[in-house]
Formats: sequence, structure tokens, C-alpha cells
Amino acid sequence: MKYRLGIDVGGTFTDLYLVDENGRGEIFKTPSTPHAPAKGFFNGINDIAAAKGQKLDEFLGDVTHIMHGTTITTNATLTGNGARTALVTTAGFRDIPLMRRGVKTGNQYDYTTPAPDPLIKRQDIYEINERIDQNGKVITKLDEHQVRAMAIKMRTAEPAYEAIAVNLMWSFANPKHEQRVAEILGEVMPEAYVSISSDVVPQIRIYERGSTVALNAYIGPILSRYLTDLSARLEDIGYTGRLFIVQSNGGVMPPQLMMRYAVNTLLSGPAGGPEAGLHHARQHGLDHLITVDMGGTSFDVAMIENGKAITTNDSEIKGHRVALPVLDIHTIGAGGGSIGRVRNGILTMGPQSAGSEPGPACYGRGGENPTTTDADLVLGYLDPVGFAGGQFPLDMEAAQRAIREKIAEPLGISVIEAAQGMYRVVNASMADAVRAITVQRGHDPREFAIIAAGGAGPLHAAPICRELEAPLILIPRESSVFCASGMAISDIKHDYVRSFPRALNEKSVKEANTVVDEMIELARQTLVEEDVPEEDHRYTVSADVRYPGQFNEVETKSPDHDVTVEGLTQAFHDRHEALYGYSVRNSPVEVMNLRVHAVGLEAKPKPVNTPDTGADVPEGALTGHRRAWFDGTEVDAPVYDGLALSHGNVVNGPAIVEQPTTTIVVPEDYVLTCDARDNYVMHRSDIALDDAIALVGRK
Amino acid sequence: MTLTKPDSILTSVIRNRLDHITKEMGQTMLRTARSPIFSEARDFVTAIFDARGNKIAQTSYIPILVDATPWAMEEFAKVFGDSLQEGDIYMLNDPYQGNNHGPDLTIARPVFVDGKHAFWTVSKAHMIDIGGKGVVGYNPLSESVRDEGIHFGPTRIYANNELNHDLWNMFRNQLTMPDIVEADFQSMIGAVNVGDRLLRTLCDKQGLDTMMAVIDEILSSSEATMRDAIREIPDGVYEGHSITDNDGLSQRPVRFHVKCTVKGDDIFFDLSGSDNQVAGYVNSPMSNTASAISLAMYMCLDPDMPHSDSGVSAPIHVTARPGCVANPLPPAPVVLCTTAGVEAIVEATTQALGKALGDRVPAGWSRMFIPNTAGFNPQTGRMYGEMHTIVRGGSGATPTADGYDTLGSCVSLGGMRATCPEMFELSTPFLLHEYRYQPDSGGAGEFRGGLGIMADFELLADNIRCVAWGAGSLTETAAAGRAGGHPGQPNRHWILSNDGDEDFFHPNSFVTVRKGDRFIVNAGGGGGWGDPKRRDPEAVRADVEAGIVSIPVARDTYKVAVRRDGTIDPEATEALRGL
Repeated sequence: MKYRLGIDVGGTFTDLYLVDENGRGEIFKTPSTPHAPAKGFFNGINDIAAAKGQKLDEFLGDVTHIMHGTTITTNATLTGNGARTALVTTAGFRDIPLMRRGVKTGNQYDYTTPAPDPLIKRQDIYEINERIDQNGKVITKLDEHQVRAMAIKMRTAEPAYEAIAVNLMWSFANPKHEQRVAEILGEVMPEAYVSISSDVVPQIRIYERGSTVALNAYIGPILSRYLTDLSARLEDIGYTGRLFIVQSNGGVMPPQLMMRYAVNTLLSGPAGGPEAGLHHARQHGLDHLITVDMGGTSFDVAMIENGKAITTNDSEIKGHRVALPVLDIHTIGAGGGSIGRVRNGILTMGPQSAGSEPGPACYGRGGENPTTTDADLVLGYLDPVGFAGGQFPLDMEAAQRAIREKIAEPLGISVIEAAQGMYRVVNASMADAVRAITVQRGHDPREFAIIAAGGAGPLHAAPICRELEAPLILIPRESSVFCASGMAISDIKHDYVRSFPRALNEKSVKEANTVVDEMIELARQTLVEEDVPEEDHRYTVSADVRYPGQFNEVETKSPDHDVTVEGLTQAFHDRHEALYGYSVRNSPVEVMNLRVHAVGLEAKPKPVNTPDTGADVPEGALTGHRRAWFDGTEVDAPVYDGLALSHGNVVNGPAIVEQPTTTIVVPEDYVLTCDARDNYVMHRSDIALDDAIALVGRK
Repeated sequence: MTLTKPDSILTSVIRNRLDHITKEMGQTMLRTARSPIFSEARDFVTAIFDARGNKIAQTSYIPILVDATPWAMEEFAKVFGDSLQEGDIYMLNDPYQGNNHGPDLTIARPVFVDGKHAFWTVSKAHMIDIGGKGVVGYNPLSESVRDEGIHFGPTRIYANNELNHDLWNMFRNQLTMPDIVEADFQSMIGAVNVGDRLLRTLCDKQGLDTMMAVIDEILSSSEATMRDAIREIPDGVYEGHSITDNDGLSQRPVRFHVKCTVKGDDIFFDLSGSDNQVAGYVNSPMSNTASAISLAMYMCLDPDMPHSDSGVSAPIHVTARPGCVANPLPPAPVVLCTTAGVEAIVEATTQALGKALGDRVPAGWSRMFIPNTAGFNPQTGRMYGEMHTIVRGGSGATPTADGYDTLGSCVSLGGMRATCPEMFELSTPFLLHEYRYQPDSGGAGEFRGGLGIMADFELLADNIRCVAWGAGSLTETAAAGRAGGHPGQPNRHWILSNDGDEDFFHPNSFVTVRKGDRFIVNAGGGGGWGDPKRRDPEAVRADVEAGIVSIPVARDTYKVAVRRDGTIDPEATEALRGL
């Protein structure tokens, strides 16, 4: 049997998901080793081999693909521990990255704390004499002499620069100057990681482009070291399969390219989610989904439309802009660790989080603030003894005390009322987060199946969906290693972009197609080098389009590979109308960027259904009863062992279904059913399962 | 109805949802607008009012618009209160009928729940063109509001969800850039319609009675917060004053005076001591004056306080003698009031509050002084109009932190985005030669004022009209220092012509420009807070290393000796500081 292995190295746990050709998956979890992430990676592989009773090389011989998601670059960025980086820019424009377009982030009224630190300090930004205009014409020749002198100065800087980003005005219109600067830097400082904006993100908007290339340089050396080491060690232990790294767009890339485009790994961790969601939903014929992943500190929402995860070209990390396609994962600070507080009689939950240290009050590690997890415990949803497979008992009294002191007393209500309030408020803000990526973009959440994942997701899924009137919830059995399971089955993806600021007409469309063809050829070569046979190549052509004078573009898919004036114009009007409620059909349109999205399809496991064992829950699955609060009433709720449920089994609410790493709350008006792959589906009890599926199944 | 306990939770849920709806309305405008003033600079707000005229939620990209909206709602109610119909949309922009200044168009849609008028959704935004002889709405030679463009009193522009085409076309025909205005108008209509849909869904779910009970709860909670804050201010009478550089028609500065009276948990501001209304366009109608006072209050008090509903402004009472510059009579021109007028009122108010709060108020922000240009852009083959928002000064320091760099004026409070330099070159006939920080522009202090920019841009076309407008070019109107902090540098702008002539250009004048002229602009910095000698020497050293404070200023003003190699000379510093 051949396997694919998804490895998601997270902050607390390294999740592994091993899937065979029949789609049968196995879950493994091992503590992460943040100071040496590769250690957790190899611990996990050793654990699997041991669990299978195989020698390491024997086991690895059966693994054809390792798909690896890493938070190493995310963490380096969030903690400010990237490489020592210099930025080279056009003379006169040194301060563009520091100005951040003159916008105050966070509370506009709050100037009690200073502006956030820049990624690269002003003294590490170097100016060189050169200038290209908007048409790509050289106005001022590159002063190579000056560049060389600068490189020599950089080489002797203390401490030494590990990385250099280059971002020149209009470089995407003519990359020659940036390329020459990179050559000279390469000659003088062969050890340095050099990254130029016209290679990483060749598109208009100097601040956003510069921020992206600066981030790429800032984390490039860190990712390069990590991946070089990882590849070498995999080779040492006899792995002959392929290693791929998960990108922020949900696809994977081989390590060599990933090192050059390190900025594409900033969302590598959560990026496996949508693929996993799609995998489970397809079984029910669904390709219109919202994935919600609720962990300790954050709640991540992503949308999948017609089987494609939605991406955005406009994201940021720690206030630094990233102008490359990443999965449009909307994150809010609402998780198990979100802190509740009362101000002027108004209860809010988050965005502050107690994290894992000290963690929620009930962790008993000195946390005094009441969190979502404390409310979940007080309401009876969590088992104080069996939490996290019993490794980790919870302190009920500490949870009650925190809620009493910080919430109940200030509001003049009981602890239970306060806990119910916390549960409602956090659910409402999560529902708003779902609305932010659906309603706000013209989608109706009632037409989507909700995939609930993460340790805390299934606990809150039903009330969120009730509020959104979403008819169907899918809860994968591997909910707790959701992203790793998606990684294991990801395709190879490459995104290409070229700036093309022109009015769309018969003349410009010819040039556009030449540019598109060049990008497709580049993509084709790359995929061939990655051993993807041509019949498995898929290309999507799109353009960032706007009405003349608009300042924001709408990414519009071209109906065909050959861009046509009619096809693209029509698609843009339609999209604009869907997004913003109007279009101007008689107006000409303009293109800003052309994009090619290339996919190399990877073989997918062929899942096998398990036999239907009927609605009745087997004996032994009911493990006991627990006092728990459902919509204001205390109930003696039955508690089931999720792993003992199988295909066809039905659990009526109110009930609690427990797995070692997840708890599912089934409210009194909901029904949970185990499906043919032993995942769970949940829906309102007043409609039948097939009807609920029909409501979100688009034909 | 008595509020039972769980309603405090429901209040939280509904309040979050109302905020969320105004954000969704804002997104619609942000993503679809055609004029850079909307989409790049974000010069707009979206809001929800109840039928009684209470503001219950609002976005605040441009805070100075925040407390100007209630005045418009009063006018709509006055004129159409008895005849509101579902499917109506109203607009107005007349400064003497509920607006601040003409370019900021206010659009409002009454929201009906169960056949009854329950709410308003509102969008207010700066239009690129409302007619008149100005450049992008700014005409320093205006002698009357009638010279400033077309003004609508409360007007039913949609009935039964149908645009009044006759009226709209009549307006369109008065414009230089009708297509852009029409597109931006559509995006505003989109916003109030989106808000209408979402609000009605919310009411269907919660029931109107519950909603109204919750809204009362929200308003009284906000009001209580503001009253608590005012109670912290010692009772007494405090005064402050400030000037604008000129009024446009004459070079005479115009003086705004604020008398602030604190009595228990109410606070009263009277501006009757200000100059009589002036001939030029700096007069500030009441809606603008009151909004400026609120803004100054919010800047000086706890930043975590709510800022988006009528409850919070209820204890703030603003009056001004009719006929003074802070409450002019028609037809005095007013276009400059939303920047120069506001900035002077904010400074006067902050001074007064500073006297009450022992100087623990922010230092002044650099005032806005920028060119507007418009004309035919040969590179695109289209008309263009630009407010040069890339020109921006620094924010004032506070008792706990340095000012922020290049945020622009306090009227936008960091909400107005600078146009991207490449987008600027793409959409206007200019080439940017330089766009950087201006070292030493931030006022010195224990906490330093934010830096202004220094830019150099060259005009590549002929027949371009240009107006320079704003304030802050005088020593007296530079960003004020506080508690011993120094003022920031004033704004200083030149035109450097092809033949080598250097012309200092004054705020509030038409400027003759030709192809090849270079705009050399030095935007001022924010004011400093506290004595510069008390600034942490390490912070001074870091500023020197970064090149934003020079070695002589470090030595002469901060009294810190920084050596050429960037290290501190401790003995020399001790001697300088007299320790």
C-alpha cells in the first residue's frame, strides 16, 4: 500500500495525517518543538512507523508524497525574528515602506502607544540613482558604480546582512535595473539571500509590492535553512519520495521554488483547510462550502465556491501587506482562549486571548481571565476529567471564579447566565465573521454547507449555523488535524502575475494574449520539471479589471484561455454587479494586471464507503450523562463516544459527542448522523438530512 | 419595558451587528468608487439612525464627518417627516440646511419595518465635483456659497426606488466630471441599499420592540460613559483660541475662540467670542463647528470610549452667536471649514481642555495645506481631478508616545490613505522626483511630533488648473507643542519653474502652473509633548541613527551629544543637560 503524508507543524501540536490509496486516513499528533521544528516533524514520522510496527526506512519506502505545512515563517514574522534584512530602493523613495500610506491601524482615536516598528529600519534602507517611468522607459540610468560601492558597504555592515530586498519604482514595467542590482549584489555578497520585486510580485503599487518583497527577504533565509536541512535529513533516513511545501494559496510547491518565494508560506499552516473541506463535502455532492476552524486564539473562515477556494491579493500579516494570492481566510480573535470582559455594562469576547500560557482560568496555570473555554466548561459541554484525552484535567472552580468576578458580578447576573452570555456573544461574533466573507461579498450563507473543524469548532458550530440559518454542518472525524488532512491531498499550484495597465480593446487584447501565453509557457515548463504530465495541467486566466478611474480592481476570470474583449468585459460587469449591487454596462473597462493560475493535479485517494449499520447507536457508545445547559435549561445530556459511532448511526439532541481531541455539542433542535466515511453531519431536527443536503447542493 | 438581565447580552450582540452593518455599507463604497477621494483617500462615512433622529452606529474613516450627520437628519425629518415612503432616498449638501460643506454629499434612506418608518441608513462622502469655478470643489475666490457649486436642500432623489432622472440630469449638466460623480453617487446609493436590506433582516429576527429597547440601552450606556469622563474634569471655565492662515479673499488671519464650561457631568462650549463671519470661504456652519468640538473631546479623553452614537455626544453642548465665523449666516462661503476651520477649533478646544486636564492632552497636528489640480491628462486622454493627499504632515505627540509620521490632518485622524506614488503618476500628469520624510520636521519634546513629508513632483502637461488650499504655513498655525514641547515645522511649499524662478505659494490661492514646473512641498510635523530635555537620550540617539533628527538638533534642542559614529557621548550629554 502506498501512502501520502500530510504534516502540519503548528504552534502547540504537530499534526500528521496518513492517507492510503483507498482514502483511509490515520491521525497522529505529537507535541511541536518550536525551537527546532524539524524535530517534531521527525518525531511524528518515527511515531507512525512505530505504531505500524515497521522500521523507519521500511515505512518511508511506502510513502510517495510528504506534504508539509509550516508556521516557521509566520512565527518569525509575528515575533520579529526574521533575518537581518536591507532594502534597496530608488533614490527619493526611501521612506515609502515606513509611511505605510499614512494610515493609522487599530483604534483611530488611540495615540497613547507609538506606531508599530517597521519590518526594516530606516538605516537599513539604501537609495540608488536610477529611474524608470510608467511606460518602462529609463529616465535615469542605473549608477552601477554606486550600487557596487553600496554592496561593499553592506558586506562589511555590523551585524552582517543576511538578506537584501530590491524594490525600484515601476520595476514591473521594466525589470532590467532590479536584475542588474541583483547581479552586482550576487557578485559582492554571494552568501546573501537577494530578492527582487519584479520577480516576486511584478505589479503596480510600490508600497504593497515593496512590503511583499521585503517580507520575502526577511523570512527567505530562515525558510531556506529549514528546508535545506529537512530535505537532507529526509534523504539521510532513506526517503526517496517527494517533498512538497504547502503555500498560502492552498497548493503545494517543491522546496527549491519555495525558498525563492518564501513569502508564499506565510499562511502555509491553515491553508490545508479548504482542500480538506472539499474532500469531505464531495462525498455528499457538495462544492459550495464554508470552512470554520476554531482553535485556541483564532477563528478562521474560508469560502469555497463551485469547488474552488476563494483567494485574495490583498492581505496582511502583523500590519505588513502581502500583495500575492493567498487563500481568503478571514481570521478574527475568537477562540477557546478569547477573554471575556465587561465595560460599561457591555460584554465583549476577545480579541485578546489568554493563549496557551497562562491559558484559560480552568487550565489552572495562573490565568485569571474568563475565556470561551471556561464558559464551555461551566456550561457542561467540556468534560473536566477527560479533556484532551484525559492528559489535561480542567479546574471547574477556577473557571467559575473567573466568570463570577469578571463577568457575573459586574453585570449583576448568575455565573451560569454569564457563561451563557459569553457563549452567545462569541458565537455571534463568529457568525459575523462568516457573514463578513459571504454576505459582504454578495453570497447567501444559507446556500453553503458549513465544515466545522479545530478543537473548539464542533462545540460552537450548531449555534453559529442556527444564527446564519445554514442548513447543514459537516464535522470531519479528523477535525482536530483538519489542515494536515487537506495537505495530504493538495495539488501543485503556481500563480503568475504581470502588470498590464491598458484599456481593454481589440488592440490591447492581442498584447494581453501574448503576455498570458508567456506566463502559461513558464507554468508549463515548471510543472513539467515537477514531473506533472501535461494532461494533468490546468490553467485559469484572469485579469484585474476596473471601470476607468476606479481605484480598486475586481479579479475577473476570463471565460477562455484566449482573452477576448467581449468575454472579459461581460464577466467583469457580472462580477461587479454580484459584488456591489450595480454595473455600468455601457462603460469601457480597463485592465491592471493579468494573472495565470496553474494547477498540476495530483492523484487523489479513492475513498471507500463503510457499510451502513443503521440508525441505532451501538451499545457501549453511550458512555454516561452530564449536566449541561442548552438554551437556558439544564439538561441531563447523554454523552457518546464518537469513535464508537459508525455509518448510519443517529444521535438526537440534546447530546454531547466526544472524541479524544474534539467535543461536539448537539443542541436539542439538532440531529447528528454518522456518514459513509464515518464523518458527522448535523442539521436541524425539523428537516430531513436529504433535504438539508439538497438545500446546499447546487445543481 | 424593564430590561431583564439577559438583555445585557442581547445588547452586546445587537450593537456588534449594527457596527458590522455600517462596515458592510462602507466596504461597498470603498471598493466601487471612481474618485480617488473616495477609494484611495476614504473621505466618507456610513451610519445608521433611528426614526427619532438618534445616531446608533457609524464608521469613522474621516472622524470630522462623524458628528456632522445628525444635523442633516434633522433637516430631512423637518421637510419630509410626514411624507416618508418606502423606496425613497433623500440627499442634501447645502451647508445652511444641515450640511457641513457642499462637496460632502449626504444621502439617506428611510428604512421601513412592518410598514413603519424605523431607521435611516446614511452615507456621506466628498464628491470630486459639485459644479462651481473651483478646482475639485475648492474656490478660494468664492464670495458666496453660491460660488462654491450646486447646493441641494433636503431633496427626494429616489421615489419608489426610481431615480428622479430629470433632477439628476440637471445637476449632471453643471459638472466638469459628471461620469465620475455619477459613479460615486451610485456607490453611495448601493451603500444605503445594502444597509437597508441588512437592517430589515436584523429587525425581522429580533423584533422591532426588542431592537428599540436595546438601542435605548446602547445610547444610555454611551451617554453614561461620556458623563463619567466629564465628571473627571474639574468644574470651571476654560478658554482657548486659534487662527487660520487667512480667509482666501484677504490675507487676514481668522480667529476662533472657545469658552468651555464644565458643570458636573455636562460640558458647554461657546464659540461666540470668535471673529465675525468673514468674506472668504473659511466660515464654519454649526454642524461643522459642533463636529470639530466632538472630535477634540474624543482626542483628549479615553480613546476606548464609544464614538459612534448620539449617546456619547448628548452631554456635549455647543453654541455660537449667529453671524460669527463659527455659526455664519448665508450666503457666507464655507468650503474650507472642514479642514482649516476644524483645525483651528480643535486647537482652541484642546488648549481649553488642556488647562482643565493639566496639559495631559495631545500636542497639535500639522494642518492640511495641499494643492488640488485638474484638467486634461494627455497620458490617459481623460479629464482628471486630484486632491494631492500624498502631501501630509505629522500627528501630535501625546503624554505617552511620539506622534505618528505622515498621517495628515487631525480632521481625518489617520483614516485618510495617501495615494500610491505609482498610482499618482498613472492617474495624473505628474512625475514624482522625491517623496520622503522631512527630517527635523516633528516638534521636539519628551515625546516627539510625527514627521511631515517632503515631495518634489513635476507637471508634465499644459493647461492644468491649480488651487492651493489649507493652513499651517505660519509660525502661529504650525502644530502646537504642549507641556513644554516645541511646535512642529510649518508647511512650506514652492513652485520651481523651468526658468529657475522659485515661487513660495500661499494657501488659498489659484496658482498658475505650466508644463515643467516642479512642486516642492515640505509638509509640517506634529507638535512635541513635554520638555525635549526630558527625552530619553537613547530615543534621541535612535532618531539620529535613523536620520530623522539631525546631530545639531539633538545637541541644541534635546541636549544630547551624539557622536558621528552614532553613539552617545555621556559626559557631554550630562554637561548639556546641566545634570
